[in-house]
Amino acid sequence: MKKQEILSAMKAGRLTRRDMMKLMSATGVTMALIPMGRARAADEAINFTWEGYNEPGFHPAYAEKHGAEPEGPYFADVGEALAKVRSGFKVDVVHPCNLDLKNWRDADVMQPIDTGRLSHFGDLFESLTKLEFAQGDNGEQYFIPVDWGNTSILYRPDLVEVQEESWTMLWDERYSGQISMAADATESAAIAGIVLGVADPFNMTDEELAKAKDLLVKQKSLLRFYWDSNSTVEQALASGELVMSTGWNSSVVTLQGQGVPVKFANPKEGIMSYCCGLVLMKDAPHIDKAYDLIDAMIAPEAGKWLIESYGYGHSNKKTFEIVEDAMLNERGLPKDPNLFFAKGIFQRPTADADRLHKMFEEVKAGA
Amino acid sequence: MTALASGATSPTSQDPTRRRPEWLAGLWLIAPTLAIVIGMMLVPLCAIVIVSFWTQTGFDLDTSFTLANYGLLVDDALKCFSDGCGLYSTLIIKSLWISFVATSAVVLLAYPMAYFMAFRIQRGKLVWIILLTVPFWTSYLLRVFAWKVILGFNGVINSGLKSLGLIEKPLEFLLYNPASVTITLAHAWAAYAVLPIYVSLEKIDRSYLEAATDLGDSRWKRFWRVTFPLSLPGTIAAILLVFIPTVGDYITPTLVGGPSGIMIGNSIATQFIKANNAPLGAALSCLMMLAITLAVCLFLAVIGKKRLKGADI
Repeated sequence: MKKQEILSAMKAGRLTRRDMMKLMSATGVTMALIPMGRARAADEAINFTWEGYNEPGFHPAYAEKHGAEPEGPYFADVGEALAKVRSGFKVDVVHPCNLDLKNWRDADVMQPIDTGRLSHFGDLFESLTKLEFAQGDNGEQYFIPVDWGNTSILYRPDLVEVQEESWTMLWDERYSGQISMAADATESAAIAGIVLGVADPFNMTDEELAKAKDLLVKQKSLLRFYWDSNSTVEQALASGELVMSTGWNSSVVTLQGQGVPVKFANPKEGIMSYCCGLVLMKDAPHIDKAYDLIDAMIAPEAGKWLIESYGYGHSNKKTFEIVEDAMLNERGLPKDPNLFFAKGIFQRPTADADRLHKMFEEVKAGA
Repeated sequence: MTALASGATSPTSQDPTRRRPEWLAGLWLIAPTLAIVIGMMLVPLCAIVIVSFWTQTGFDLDTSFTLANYGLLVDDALKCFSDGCGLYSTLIIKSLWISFVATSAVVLLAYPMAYFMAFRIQRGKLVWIILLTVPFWTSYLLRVFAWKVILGFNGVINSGLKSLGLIEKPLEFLLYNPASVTITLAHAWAAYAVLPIYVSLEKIDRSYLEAATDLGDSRWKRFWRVTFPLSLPGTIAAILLVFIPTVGDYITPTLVGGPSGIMIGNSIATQFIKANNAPLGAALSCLMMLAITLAVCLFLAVIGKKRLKGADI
């Protein structure tokens, strides 16, 4: 049946219901047979990471070797990343932090990393490669540390009057509606725990957690929003919508670079610190390139870029030989992460994160 | 062509005994749709119901049948009668309320638009319909973001009022609260309300209106006695089309809801993504669907079954 014939049959009203149905089913079959193959993505290592963490500067050696950048899908939250990976999202490496390592190990999604294949592995700080849950029971390496830094309060010194820097600033009623916290159950609970002065803010007793919850409920009415990405915080601080928020080192560098007066508090109770790095997925599709990517990210030149552009510490000792001391001072980084961690409150894995999620949900749901 | 054409004209095709049964023909016609509905709706729905009777142990699912998740939710709801509702009941009630307000706003805004199109526009109706749907050619997410830009701290409204000298400091109540969720939902779903209402208004036989006028009805009376009742099918369809999907919305509260604007959809997402408790999330989804069903049944009972009879929604 040719096109003209169909059309003239239709115009003349000669097309029967059956003809019409045959035509329609033929159309349907044709549509179904149109190849649905997805356009093939570039065949590079897939670096599933935080917003802004797949910049070329993070892994210059990778592009030198392969002539292309790794693919970088972002996540806003490590829990979200783990859920995605577990439901079949195929990636090579992911960038969790030491706080979450227990979860990643329990989920059984990682494969041990052959450290012999990493040329820079020997230069890494041993205190970082041997963090809790970084290694398996038999000493196999699952976690390659890359960056370390702080969680603290970012604030606008021109808009906030501060007597003494403290985590209690986040409860200052004078700035109601101009404060923000990360939408992160573990971190929020820990901050409340620190304010309460509990023995271990990362593993609180039920009683302590109930008090922490009350504290967070009290804080909620003062908050503008719970943030999901650091760019949201940076924009809000720059515009003056927020005067203070929890945040990370990189936001200080970014905002100061834009000429926004911003300070990173050093709370009297102690600044929180952490270490993040790479883990290799069990079903990594580009295993060789994944090793190249990991090696590129722990190279000293990558570390130098990290310190200068993002203000985080790096896991490679040699990085600190090539970065000028003035730069380190400006970024508030010591030469040894152990000195850095000793100063503050080092984030540690929580035994029972479900409790914290439930608590935080209740805080957010309250009127 | 020859086979088809001869089939169309040959006497055998008129022979009733050789015809396939009516129901079979109907089934063939809806087969593709049916396959999609079964594959994309029914199977996932059954999966959700089944999973809701399981439990999560660490990163594994315990597939033995249990009512534990529902027990937890019932306890949660029972608290409403003692010392204030639990987490999930609070969220469901709040979500139903936000959707109710948003739906009311949508229908109140959509009705005049539909009325205008049906009765005032004589030529080029298609152009008007297309113009109406233009904002909906962009993704839902972008529309929500647009509201963030409009209502934001340095947004269109705030900077506009500031440049007019009406305010000195930006109004902060515009964004990040349940009201901003309601506003965003009301706009984002407008097209879904205008079109069904427009269709039912368009279908109204104009001679009824003339008759009403001839018999002495004022314009206002004519509207309430003729136009409005006849447009009810479309209006009810619009209400259902907007209310049902908005209760479970998740992305709007995430983007514009702020600390107190979260809805039940956010809590369900948390169970699946952050809290890693799919069975509880599934049970919550079932509870939400149940709550929506009850709300819709209540609504239909209130407007009366009689009105719906013969109305083709």
